[in-house]
Amino acid sequence: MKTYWGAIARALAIGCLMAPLRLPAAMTGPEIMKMVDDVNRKAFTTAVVKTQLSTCKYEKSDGGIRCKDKPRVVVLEVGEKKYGDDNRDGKSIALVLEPISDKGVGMLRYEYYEADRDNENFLYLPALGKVRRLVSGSDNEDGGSFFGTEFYGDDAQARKINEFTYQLLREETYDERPTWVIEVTPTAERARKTAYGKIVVWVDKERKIYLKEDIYNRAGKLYRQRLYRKYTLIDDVWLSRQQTMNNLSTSRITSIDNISVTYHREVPDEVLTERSLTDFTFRERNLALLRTYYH
Amino acid sequence: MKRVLQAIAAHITHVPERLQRRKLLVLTFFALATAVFCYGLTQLKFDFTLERWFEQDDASFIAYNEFHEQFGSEDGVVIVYKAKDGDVFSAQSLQAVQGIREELLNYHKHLKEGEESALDHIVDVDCLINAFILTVKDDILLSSGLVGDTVPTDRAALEDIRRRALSQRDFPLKFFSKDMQHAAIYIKTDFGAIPLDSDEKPASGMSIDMAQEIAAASSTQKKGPPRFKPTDTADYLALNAALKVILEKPQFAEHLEYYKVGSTIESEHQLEMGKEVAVLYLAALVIMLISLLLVFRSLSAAVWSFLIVILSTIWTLGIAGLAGLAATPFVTLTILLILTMGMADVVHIISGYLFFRNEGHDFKAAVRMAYEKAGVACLLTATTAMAGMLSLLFTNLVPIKHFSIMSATGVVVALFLTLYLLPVLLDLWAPVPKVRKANAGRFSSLLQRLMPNFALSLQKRLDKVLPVVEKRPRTFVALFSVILAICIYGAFQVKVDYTSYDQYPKESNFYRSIKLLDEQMAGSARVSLYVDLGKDNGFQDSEVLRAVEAMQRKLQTDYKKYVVTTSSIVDIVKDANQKQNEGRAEMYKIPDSQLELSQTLFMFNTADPEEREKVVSENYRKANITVTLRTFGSNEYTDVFAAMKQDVNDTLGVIKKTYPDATVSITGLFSMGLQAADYLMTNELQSFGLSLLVISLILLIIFNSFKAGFISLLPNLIPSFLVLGILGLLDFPIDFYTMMLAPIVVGIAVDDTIHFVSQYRAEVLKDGDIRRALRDTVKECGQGIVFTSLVLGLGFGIMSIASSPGLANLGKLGFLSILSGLLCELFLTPALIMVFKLNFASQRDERRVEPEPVPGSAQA
Repeated sequence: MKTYWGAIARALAIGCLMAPLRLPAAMTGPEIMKMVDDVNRKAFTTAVVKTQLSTCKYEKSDGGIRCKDKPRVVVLEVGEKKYGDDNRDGKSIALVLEPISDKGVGMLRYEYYEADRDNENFLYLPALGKVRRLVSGSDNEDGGSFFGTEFYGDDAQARKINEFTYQLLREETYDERPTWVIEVTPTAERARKTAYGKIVVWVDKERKIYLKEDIYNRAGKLYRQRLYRKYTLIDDVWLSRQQTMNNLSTSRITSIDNISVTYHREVPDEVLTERSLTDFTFRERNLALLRTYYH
Repeated sequence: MKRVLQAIAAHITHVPERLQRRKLLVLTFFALATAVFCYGLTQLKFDFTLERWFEQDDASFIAYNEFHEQFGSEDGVVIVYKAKDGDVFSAQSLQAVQGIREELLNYHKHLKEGEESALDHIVDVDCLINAFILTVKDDILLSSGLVGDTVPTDRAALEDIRRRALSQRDFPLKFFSKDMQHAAIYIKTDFGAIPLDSDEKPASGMSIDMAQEIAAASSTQKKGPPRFKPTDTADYLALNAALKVILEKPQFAEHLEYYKVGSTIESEHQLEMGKEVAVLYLAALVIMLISLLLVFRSLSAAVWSFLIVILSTIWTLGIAGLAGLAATPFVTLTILLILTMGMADVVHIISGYLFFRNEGHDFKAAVRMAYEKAGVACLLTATTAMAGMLSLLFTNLVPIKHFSIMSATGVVVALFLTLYLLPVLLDLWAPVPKVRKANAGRFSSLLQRLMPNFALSLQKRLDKVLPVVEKRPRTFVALFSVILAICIYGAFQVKVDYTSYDQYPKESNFYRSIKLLDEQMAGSARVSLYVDLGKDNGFQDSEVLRAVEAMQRKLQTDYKKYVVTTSSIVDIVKDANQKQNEGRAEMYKIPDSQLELSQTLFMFNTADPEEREKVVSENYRKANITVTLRTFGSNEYTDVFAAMKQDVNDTLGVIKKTYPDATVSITGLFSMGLQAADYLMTNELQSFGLSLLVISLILLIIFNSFKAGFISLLPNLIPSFLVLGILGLLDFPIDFYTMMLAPIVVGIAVDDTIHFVSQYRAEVLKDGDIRRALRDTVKECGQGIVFTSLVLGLGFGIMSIASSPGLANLGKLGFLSILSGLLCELFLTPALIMVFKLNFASQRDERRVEPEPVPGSAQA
């Protein structure tokens, strides 16, 4: 199991530079995705986010969907910092704020751009006092569940651009925005690590941000859908305030609501270490600093 | 009452002539109506699911649906397979299972865009390949399936898989047998868990406002109970067929031998049973044809009798289809009932017709007199039979209600066709030519030469009956009374016993599968304890988990004979806690501190939320505790379940101290089956009693005499109680089918009594001479009773060769009941009339003043 939260700010609040780029007349799928990836990686170097994950089983009702029971809510505080050329690598930490019984549970993530280097994830449970490295033993776990939600680790990170092939399907207006519709297919190497057969993404042509993803399983059946809603511009980065991952097969949905977000502020390197997980005083001191950044 | 009967008698007497004048119109009406009901027949839905046995507002059914809403359907398929190489952990066995799983889940890639598949109903497939394991080693937390995507071929890796599987406490028996020759594949479906208002399209493009949802959940507004779509048998059959295609592929079948259970698998048997019943129905028709030819020695009489019962069947099932009633396994009984009751009506009318033709009357007079003499009796017998059937309406079980309505409709339809179609048919092709030429027609005389005169030899034997009874009428009454007393005593000893394999021969794959699951695996039955604490995060409370743990332990120790395994969130917590603590045996327990418990659950949910979802709800408020059981009869389980319920409620009592709104339901298909058996036991006997009461009242009204009513009732009690009595005395339990027989037999048996007593009444009113009246009644009516008993008895009796034990028992016992009814009619009724000197004296006095025809029958 690889629970990735590290790229949370980037993945949960995919941002991009405001200034529209001048595009060649006809771009191919790979060109578009390379450009979008580039824009997103360079959009920010650091991020501090307070986010709420709400998950429930749902039923269809009056043309919409409703939770069958009260959703399970987890509130996280996340700090992220990018490293290397063009911000390609990253480190991030996510700490549980609520529920109170799980406060202090933390995850640390080291993310690597190279396709042949697996990302690393560490889980800390304060009641047990141990840091565990999370490993997915299966070949297609997609990074395991992200804090028990419908998001997988692979959903919460920027995809490694070289692990997929891309095909521009069409251009259309979606949600009143001009979009490219692109089919993203894992390479043979990547296919061994994912249950996703392909992903069809809707990319905003002007803002270079994702609006929707239809995720198909290996058998070609649409079984998950990710929607990006409530985009706002924060610190010159486009942020989706609300994202949902809807498991169409199990009728279970998770909504990620970004409560507070800030970019481009100083995140000390020592925050992104195991000590932040295990040392309560150290962690709280650093968090106090990060909390001053929230919008 | 008398005036009503007289008006009806007058109507019935003149109907044939009026209809015969408008032959074309009548035939057109019946042809059109038949076309409509043929269409209705195509609308008839077959529903063999146990969950549809209950009313929508039944408490057990609501709990069952709530469980489905939370944890999904449990109406899946279990495939136990035997590794042909004797080792379920060999590379070839694992590869075969992996291939099967792959095909079951990834069938979509073989479909075209928008194409549907029966496999769409599969939600999940659990087997050794993906059996979830959480491993903690050094500083690594590993979550994985047991085998994963790649089955290793080297011995060491395979042995490692075996070792890891054996190290999991819940894997043996659940996933593989102790000798490792058998293993199981669990296919979870959405049968019975598709919301009623769902359009079955996924909620694509829909989002949700969680803030609003959280606020709504805090409000006190209660929503209605969940409702789910009933499963169509066609869906079961389609999935079963799709499974067979996959399992029979050579690359799998050459390594594995399958044993399958579940409603999906049973549907095939139901279909086979339906086909067998159809064949037996045809056989019954052939037997009846021969009987009718023997009786009437006329082809047209046989053909028209046939047509009436076949049309009765089509009309009844067509009406049921148009009315939206579902055909259940009991439809077999309805068809049999229509066949027998319908045939009885026609036999009485045609017998009368032939009798009067032979007396020298012309065609029109013979038809009129036949309807005059037998028509009202047919109406009265139909009324009593209907009353018998409708008494079943007071049951709580939906299929029995449908059976009741369909059977009562069938009786009415058969009567309607006999009264309004048969006269026209007789006019078209009369059993004796209209222009009186006795023995005219080459075919007719050939038939009469070929056929032995069964009626003649029967008459000779019937002549000997009354002298035997006349010698010792009290002895006969005493003898039959003793038999009745013994039968009633036996009836009170009878037990209802239902098992899932009642309907299967012992050599069938299904029966063997059940036995295999009971003996080698985790048991063939399963119940779910569905606990709702009424408060979020309740199942993160260590006190609650300890109470559940104690209950699981009690179930496993106190009910060892029945309970194979129990599983719940408690087992997961204990397992995760042990693994977090270097695998130390003493740490296989619920963590001591509340924080440790909460974070252990947090870790597990992070590792695999889908596994967590199987045992506890998202907000830890509702839980599913699964108890797997060996199959025993419902009779044995009734007491065991009562004790288990008490233990479960004791546990709930402990939990309720902290969670006062907590509730627990014992649910699942197995539990519902037991509930159905319980309803049958309590309600069916009430219905039986009610039918006796209603029939007694009708007899009282018909004959306008307490004495006649009593005498008419007694001969019907013996055949009705005989079945229950024999079963009770022999300690042979009754199942759903045989339980239904008693009220049906009352309805059938009373038919003979009404004809007999009506005929006797007509005779005795002539001169008050009981002996002469009885002699003439036995001579005239006895023949008709023997013929109808022969037809009815053989109709039921043919079912005794069915491969399904339940249906076969129904055939044997039905035949026995009808035979006993015949003996009662010929020996007990005359004896009772003699002993109680029933001569309708008061009515005879009335008659002297006002001579009027009375309802009665005159048989050939």
